[in-house]
Amino acid sequence: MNEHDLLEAIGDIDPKFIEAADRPNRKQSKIVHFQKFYLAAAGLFLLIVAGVVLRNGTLIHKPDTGAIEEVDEFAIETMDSITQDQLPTDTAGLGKDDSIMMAGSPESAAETAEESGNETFAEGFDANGIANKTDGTNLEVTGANAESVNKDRFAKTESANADFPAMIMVNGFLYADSGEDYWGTIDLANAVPVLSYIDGEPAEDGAQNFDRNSAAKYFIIDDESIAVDIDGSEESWIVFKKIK
Amino acid sequence: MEDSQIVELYLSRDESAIAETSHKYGTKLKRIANNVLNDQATSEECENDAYLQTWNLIPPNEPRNYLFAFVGKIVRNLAIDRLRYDSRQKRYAQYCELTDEILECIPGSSSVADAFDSKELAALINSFLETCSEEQRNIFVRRYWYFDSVSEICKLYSLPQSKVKTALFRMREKLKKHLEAGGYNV
Repeated sequence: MNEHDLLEAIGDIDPKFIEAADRPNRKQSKIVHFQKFYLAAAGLFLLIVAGVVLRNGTLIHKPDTGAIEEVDEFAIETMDSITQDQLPTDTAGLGKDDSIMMAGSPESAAETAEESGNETFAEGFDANGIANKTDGTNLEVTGANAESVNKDRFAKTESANADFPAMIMVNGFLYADSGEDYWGTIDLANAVPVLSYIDGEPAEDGAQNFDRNSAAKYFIIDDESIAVDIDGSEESWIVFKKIK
Repeated sequence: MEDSQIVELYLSRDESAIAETSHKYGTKLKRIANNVLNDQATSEECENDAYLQTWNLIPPNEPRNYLFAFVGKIVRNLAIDRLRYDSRQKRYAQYCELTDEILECIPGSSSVADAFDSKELAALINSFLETCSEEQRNIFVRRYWYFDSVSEICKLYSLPQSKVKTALFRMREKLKKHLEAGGYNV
């Protein structure tokens, strides 16, 4: 027997081995596995970075006056005042989260808020509040998520209630944040970028006091109001009303 | 077309059987021949000769479930024969490499172990392949049946060269022991 004979004998091996060796490889190489791993890791890393950037970005957009703490205190204060002073006696003993659940009865809560003189809270229920979102039926605002829902609401209107509300000067007129979202047609073609950031009250056209990056844009709705994209994302437009 | 249908065409002496075989397996068959001969024109001649031999061998053979292996074996043997004939004038590097590798598997001196039964030897190789893992078996078959180069095997199975070379080396060692145990000894 020589090498040629052995090679010829290999030619007589079982056809099943020949067919099996001819099938495409189903197993992925380790390199491919690692590629997938790297992709997943890169995706995760990007998510983390995006989260950090967004978080920091949100903080940057807050006014220097410690608005976050102020919002929280304001929200808690408002909730507490409603819970303890304004609600019927049979619910007065409930905790803070439980009292927020009372928002499930929007009319009564709004009335209560109006009576207490808390316009922000009352407007919230009337304009874009829980009652409007749920039509009084489906949305279940539980103790766990009610606080975050209310925080979001107060965060939206914080500039309207702050010492220096978000303001911008356009065509010599000063416009201030009304705390209302703009739901009309967004006129991107006529959207104008803001020009500069200033602490306090803007004194020249294009100046504003809410976006240090000056990425915000605005367009004119009518003589009395403009819509402002406060962070330049073109996703959230707020109505600013002419104040002087 | 299914293999069994093509074999039926051969059995009914329908010449379209050759066209169907060429259509289905022509590229692979030519590649096997080219792996041995490293020459396109001669490989095509081998492929055509293989169709003729297949025509002559079916019937009596009826390889309904293994037509490719059947024709592949023919083209492989034709290519090796052609190479042996041609190598009287010149040596082919690829085939020399293969025979050098396979020489490592032969126990004892070749002059002593001449008397052997090729079917018995094939059965022994089959039993050896049964003992190997699927990956090792595929690498071995691709190398010594299809005559693929190591780099082609690496590409086919997405394996590093070192792994394929190591697997082949170990399998040659293992086959040598297997042949010794099977009676192919000095």
